[in-house]
Amino acid sequence: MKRIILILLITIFFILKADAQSVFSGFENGIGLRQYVTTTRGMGLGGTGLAIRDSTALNSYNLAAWRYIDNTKINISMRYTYVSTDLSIQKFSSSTANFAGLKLAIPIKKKRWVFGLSITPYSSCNFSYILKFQNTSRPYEENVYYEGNLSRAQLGLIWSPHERLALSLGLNYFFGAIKDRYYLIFNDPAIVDNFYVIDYQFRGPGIGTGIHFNLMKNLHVGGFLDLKPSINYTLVRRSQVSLQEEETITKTDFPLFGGIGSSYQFHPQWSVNADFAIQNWEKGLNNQKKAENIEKYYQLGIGIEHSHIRGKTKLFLNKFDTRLGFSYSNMGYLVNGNSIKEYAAHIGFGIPFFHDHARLDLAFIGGIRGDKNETLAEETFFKSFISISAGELWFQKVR
Amino acid sequence: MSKYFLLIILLFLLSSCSEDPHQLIVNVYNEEVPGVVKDTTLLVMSDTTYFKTSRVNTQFSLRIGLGSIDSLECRPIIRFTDYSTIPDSAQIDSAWIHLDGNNSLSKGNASPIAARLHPIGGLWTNNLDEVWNDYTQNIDRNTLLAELQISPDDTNNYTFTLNDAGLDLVRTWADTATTPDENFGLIIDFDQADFIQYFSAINSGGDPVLLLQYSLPADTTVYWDTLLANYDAFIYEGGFPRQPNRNYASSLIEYHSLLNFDFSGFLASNNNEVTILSANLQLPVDLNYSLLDPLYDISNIVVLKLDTLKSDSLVADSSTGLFARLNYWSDDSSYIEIGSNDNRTTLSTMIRQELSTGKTTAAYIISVIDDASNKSSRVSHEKEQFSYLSFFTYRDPDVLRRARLNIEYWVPAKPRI
Repeated sequence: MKRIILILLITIFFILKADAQSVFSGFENGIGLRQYVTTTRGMGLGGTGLAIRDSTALNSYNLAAWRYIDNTKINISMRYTYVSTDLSIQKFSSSTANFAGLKLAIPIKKKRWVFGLSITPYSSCNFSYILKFQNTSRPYEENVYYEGNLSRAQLGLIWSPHERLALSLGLNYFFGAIKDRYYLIFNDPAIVDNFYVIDYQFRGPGIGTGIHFNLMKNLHVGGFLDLKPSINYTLVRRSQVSLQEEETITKTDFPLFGGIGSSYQFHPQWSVNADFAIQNWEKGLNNQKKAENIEKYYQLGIGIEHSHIRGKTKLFLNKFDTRLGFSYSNMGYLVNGNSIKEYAAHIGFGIPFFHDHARLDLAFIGGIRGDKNETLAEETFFKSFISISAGELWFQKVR
Repeated sequence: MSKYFLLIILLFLLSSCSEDPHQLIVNVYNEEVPGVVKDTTLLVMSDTTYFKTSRVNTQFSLRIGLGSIDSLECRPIIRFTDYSTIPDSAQIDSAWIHLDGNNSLSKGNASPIAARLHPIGGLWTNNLDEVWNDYTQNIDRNTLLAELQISPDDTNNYTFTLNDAGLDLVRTWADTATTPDENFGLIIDFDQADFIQYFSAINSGGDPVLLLQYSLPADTTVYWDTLLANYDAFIYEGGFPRQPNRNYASSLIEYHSLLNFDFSGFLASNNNEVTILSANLQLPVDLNYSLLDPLYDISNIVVLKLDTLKSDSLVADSSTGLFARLNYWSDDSSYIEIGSNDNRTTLSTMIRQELSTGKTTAAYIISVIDDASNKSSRVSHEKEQFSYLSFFTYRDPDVLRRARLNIEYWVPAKPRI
């Protein structure tokens, strides 16, 4: 057990690593690309998952759905992303692998009270590029690294007053930093190459709630609402004249973020899911800066799942879960007045082990983001998620 | 279960990767985001010239000068104090003093100097200034030791043949009864000169030499010995004519120009946020009132950062290496500038240092220093040459003849958030 705790701490340290490169993540006024990953299972189902009944995996947003676990569960996810960017007259690609989330849930009273914590990516910025300035008296190139991400840590308490209903209350803490690094290279001994860093730091608490409700037989609905957190936004720069580090601290917030979803099991092995999540960024960071290039972020997803059969089965497709889905997102940025939209097809698999007490989930997503004619750039991406959900009995007495 | 998590951690560490930046042919971002490189020219706001009243100690100069130009007069003084190689019983029969020519400074056709050697009447190696404030009181012009016509030449070697008085003096110096402190040496004097002939000095590789021919009792062999000079220097007095409305930088007779630049407008127009990338000082020169040693030309003209300014004096920041050389002529020889890359970056560093203190003005000193090619030691006064450069002042009606600072700077990137 101590080893698990140690691994968790190491994981928390590494979870701040940046995501795959996206030209859209470097746009002004925003905090990069919003990250919305319910579970790896949900990512195979079109980015849904708010209402899914799951006794193994842990949902990142709707903690109320954790009520179905019957022992301590831990879920750890990582992802690989490949992005191919098309700027009409040039193309390039990049890929990155990193963590996608960590969750731990501990039932205090079986099917009644669950305590848990999670750390999930909130937004991500990662785009490195070179600008060459040739038409000046002093040609130079500027290497720009815009990297960083914001994460949300959540301490949650889940209460299930009735077998059909669960409510959750979460204490959120948002944290993270984005670094904007500039390397000016002149290839000229008359000029000292220059280095400049702008550090954007965010941290602050918030409150989140969730609900999971068994509306009728085989139909579940769920949702979450993250209230506006109170964020300390710190801008750190080293003055190029005084050479002193200058900090500007601003009180701000992130917009309300909410989502709702449903899951209907229409056959013992088949279920369909649909989710919708939205966050209105039109006012930017609490109107601190006029932001004409950002707008609502939202995601709509649908998915269908074929579940495995417990116990021995001869049919191959019954040995594991198979998922398909589709998602549509508005990324929350405008380019020349045009929204950046994302379309993606999802496929996923769930492979149970340890007698269905644990599961290995895989999800593969392929999609397109932006339109090179309307939004300057178009990104074709491929993402894969892998997560392990497992557990063991903690604190509760074995009867 | 722990094993599985450990495996995932390892997988993560192995698979995590980052990408090199891509060159963007099309900038998809706001053009203000990456900042911009610009350049500007600041004309000198005010300038003046300071005179350094104390003398330069020439004892460690690698050249000693003889002669006169403008109203400056130079006279070498030399001591030969080591006769340990001469036997006590030696009879000195002849003696010569040999000097290696090391370039000359003149303004045109020069007449030869009738140089004379005279004995010196006081010890001068400990406190040169005190002894030589009135050097005529310390030499015996009535005793002639040798004489020679010196014509201007870069490499000629000059040999003085000592007369009987000179031989007697050398014999006294070689006598073991004479202590080195009683050996005051000799001076090379003259009455009339219109150029300065330089000779190589001690430690230059062409040291002054005392050549002796001697014999020993009951021995018909003629012996020779060569003694290197142990102390040398040259005394100087006089100066050069200064023109009104001109600033000067000179050596020996030390004048230093002080240039003041106002950065406030430049900073204000850039929201007080710029990175000085490179700087070049261009200093128009009035060649009609300048004199440059052909051996050095402008190689030792530098710009220094002002440290302290008082009503009648200024102190330069003599931090090791913190100066920029103004050693390039413009194509039309109308101004000198900082031509080399490393010196332009040095000047930009000096400007950044000044602005980092919160000041919006900066003052720089134009000086002639000793060995500007060596940045590993602190700056010191030039002692090997006599030169002066005349600069137009900030009041000159022709703006192009005023000192100016060309700055290249970067307006830093704007915050995206």
